[in-house]
Amino acid sequence: MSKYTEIVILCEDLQQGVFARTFLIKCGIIRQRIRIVPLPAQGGGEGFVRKQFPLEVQAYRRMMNKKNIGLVVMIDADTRSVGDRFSELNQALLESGMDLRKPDDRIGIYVPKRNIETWIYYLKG
Amino acid sequence: MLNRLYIDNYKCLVNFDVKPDNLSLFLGDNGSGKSTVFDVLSKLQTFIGGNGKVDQIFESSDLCRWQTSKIQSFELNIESPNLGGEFLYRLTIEFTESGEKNRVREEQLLFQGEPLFEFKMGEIQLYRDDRSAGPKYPFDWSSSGLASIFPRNENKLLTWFKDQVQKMFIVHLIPPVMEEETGEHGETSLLKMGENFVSWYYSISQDQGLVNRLTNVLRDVIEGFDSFKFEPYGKRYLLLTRFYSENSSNVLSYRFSELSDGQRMLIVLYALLETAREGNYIYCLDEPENFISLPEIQPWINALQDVCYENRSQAILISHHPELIDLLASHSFWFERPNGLSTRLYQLPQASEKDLRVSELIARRWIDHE
Repeated sequence: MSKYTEIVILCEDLQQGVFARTFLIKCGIIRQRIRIVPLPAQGGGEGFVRKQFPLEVQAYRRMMNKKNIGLVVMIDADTRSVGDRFSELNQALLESGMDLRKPDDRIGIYVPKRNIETWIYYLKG
Repeated sequence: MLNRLYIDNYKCLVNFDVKPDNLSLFLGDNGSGKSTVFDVLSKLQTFIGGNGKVDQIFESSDLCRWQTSKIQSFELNIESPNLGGEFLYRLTIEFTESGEKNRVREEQLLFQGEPLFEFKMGEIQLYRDDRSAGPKYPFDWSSSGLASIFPRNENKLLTWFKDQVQKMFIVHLIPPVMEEETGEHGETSLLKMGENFVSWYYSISQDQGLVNRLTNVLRDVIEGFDSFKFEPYGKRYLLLTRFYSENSSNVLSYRFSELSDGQRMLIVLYALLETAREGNYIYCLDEPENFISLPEIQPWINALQDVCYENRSQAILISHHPELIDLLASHSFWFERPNGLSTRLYQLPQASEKDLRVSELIARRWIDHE
């Protein structure tokens, strides 16, 4: 049971997942230790990320003291502000009766603004 | 029903004890010992059925590699609702240093804690159904003494146990190796990969009620399916499957081997299911969902579950499929080999609606059983 998933990526669509996975591999995370949360058909969209977020935080917190793990969340800003997206995710936790993200939680939230295509365009020069 | 199986010193199974329910699911990583449990059941079935001597069935290479003991032990607890009691079968094999002349150290059958049969130090002691002592005589240490006992009026309990062991189906079905014709004689047991399915089906097809039930259910499951037909083929029979055709008023016949892997798998799975309704069968099915399409998995599992809960038969499944795992997680045993050594069994914790699916936790290796 040593080869477990270390980083879970919760994202809106496959494109975000590929971006985050490639970035993590470049950072030295072993490919087999990364898992993208299975997406609904046609991609999940920001609604999927918000709905799934509390489940993933709960699963992370149950396991955080037993395994070396982290959660990467990607949600496009679209027409909203970065702060709005953080507030929405916080609200999802509160509605599930869960504590908000704490400084020592290894949960990273990334909000591409306006969206991931901009980043891919930028990184390709 | 198989209430308990104990295995000691067989491959990765050391002091291993499992108590399956009517319907159980074995889960775990590759190499965690799930299929090894089925291997043991299959060897015990062969041995008790008198289909081989100790040396032909139990090999010294199957002894646990990190143990020095040359003694291998097995126990089977099988309950009979009709007889109102539980059988306990014990077998201890002693291996020699040379790996030859391995022998039965002890073989014993008890019913409700009282002996029906004992084979120790090369001597058999029989007991009658009323528990009175029967004959005592020397016997070959290299074979199952139990297998040598013929059915008699005074050993109906012992005979029931032997018959029940032969009513275990221990299979890992592989459609591409299934033959399309019968052997020259029908066969009452199904081989591990279902190679002889057609022969086996030929035997059970003498039961017209079963054939009707199977035909009806397959009409719902397989698009266009009409019926089966056995066609003479020398001294054998070919199994033909007949399908309705939208473009023809005739029924079209296909050889069993012409069907897709998935269609053949469905036919075998539903044939097993309909046999299970006859009662008192024990099914050990290794990855039964292989080859079949996703929409077909749950209906078959639900039907199997119904049969098992009505106490007609018992099923123990091995699977890595998320659909099956999430359906049967509450009936599962988690197999794990800490540090790559002996298999240990764990119960999965109860999940709530706020938890991730068990299959997702397994995919992450985040199973928390402590």
